[in-house]
Amino acid sequence: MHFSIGVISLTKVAARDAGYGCAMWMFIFGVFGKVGAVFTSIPLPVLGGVGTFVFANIAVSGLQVMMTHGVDRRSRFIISIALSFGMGGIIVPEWFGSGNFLNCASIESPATRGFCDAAVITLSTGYAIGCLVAVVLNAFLPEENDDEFAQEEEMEGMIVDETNKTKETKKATSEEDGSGSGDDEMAA
Amino acid sequence: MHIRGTRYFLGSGMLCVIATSFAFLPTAQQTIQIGLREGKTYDEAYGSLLGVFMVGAIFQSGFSFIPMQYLRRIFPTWLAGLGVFLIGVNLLGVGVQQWAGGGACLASGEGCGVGDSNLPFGSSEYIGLGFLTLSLILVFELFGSPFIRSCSIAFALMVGYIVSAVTTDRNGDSYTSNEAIQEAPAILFLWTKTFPIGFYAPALLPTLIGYVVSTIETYGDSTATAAYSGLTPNTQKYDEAIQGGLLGDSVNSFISALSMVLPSTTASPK
Repeated sequence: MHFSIGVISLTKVAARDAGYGCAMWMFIFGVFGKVGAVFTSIPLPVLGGVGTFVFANIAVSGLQVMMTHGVDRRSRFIISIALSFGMGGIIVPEWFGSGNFLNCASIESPATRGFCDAAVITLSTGYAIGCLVAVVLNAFLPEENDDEFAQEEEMEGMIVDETNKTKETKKATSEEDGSGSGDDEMAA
Repeated sequence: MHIRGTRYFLGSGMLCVIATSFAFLPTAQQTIQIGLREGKTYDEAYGSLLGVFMVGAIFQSGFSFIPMQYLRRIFPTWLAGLGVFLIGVNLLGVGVQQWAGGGACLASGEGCGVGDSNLPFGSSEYIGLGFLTLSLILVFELFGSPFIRSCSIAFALMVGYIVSAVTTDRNGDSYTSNEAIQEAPAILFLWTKTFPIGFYAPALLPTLIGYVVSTIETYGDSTATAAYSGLTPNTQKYDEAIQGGLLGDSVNSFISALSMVLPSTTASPK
């Protein structure tokens, strides 16, 4: 079973000494075949009941890492596209894996076929395609001026008010300026 | 572990569970099938893969020498988190399948063969057994002492196992079977077979993609572990842990190939 981060987050134990202890036990379990067999005889539904919780915990720790520094407009865009592929493939595995999209079995050349297999494997493994899409997009999408976008997003919904306000303030300032200097009067 | 005379580290210095990566399994199956068709023996076909995995491990180690400032631009924190999230979601599906009886009987539509019981996928007995185990975690969380709470998973697993061992399904069959325990030898010798190591070029490309994914996994996993280990992101110590983890991952994979098994990686991935 694969418990790494889920177990750390749940037990709040990340000490290496604990790891050495576990490693020692694992070695002993490995040498004594009967002990290993006891673990393999745990019924799948029992494992699944615990596993579902642990795996959900991994997903949550992923969300937590994702939100560590917050998500700006650009990364939100990339995450959305990456999740379209990544989660889409997890929800409907037949999407790319049906064999109708890329039929690798019919390809003769082993090299091409290996490439085709690699493509299908990558496309139908949610985290693989999700991460690949995100890495590629992150590399090629230009960096944006985040402050500009942040301001724009804040303004969304009250753009009309804002523009009116700015006009008013501009008027006010120009009037003030106008009363003070002759240049503005000339321009007007 | 610091590599003397360099600024590089081997190993993250954090608690990491390393296990055989499943990312390479499809490639391995495919390559062995092709190899067998070409008239190689099974040992030669599998051995020819091990060489590919060693070359791939060297390729992967290259990632760990990319300076952190570039690596952080290639894999920003949110991207690593995205990877961990997707792995979690991926695994969640596996967990739910096991809960309902296992992926094998979902595909075949036949009995699941959980121990001696052989009910179809999603039978109420299986759902109930899984739900009991999940509820046990909740019970331990609510009423347990801090020690029990920190071990709630192990305790839930243990109690669930005991319940499943003493109860039977609607046909009177037990959910557990003694067969595996009786068949297992008392003491195993861990090194049982040595394969002739070769190199099969067509498998290289899928293997490299596998290693890229493995790197992203390791990066994400190390990031999460670092966060839980109380390291502050983007400090020197944090960077060293990630770099060491990446190098450690590739060295582990190389040793795995030398030890005749598939490449290993940090054990959050499927």
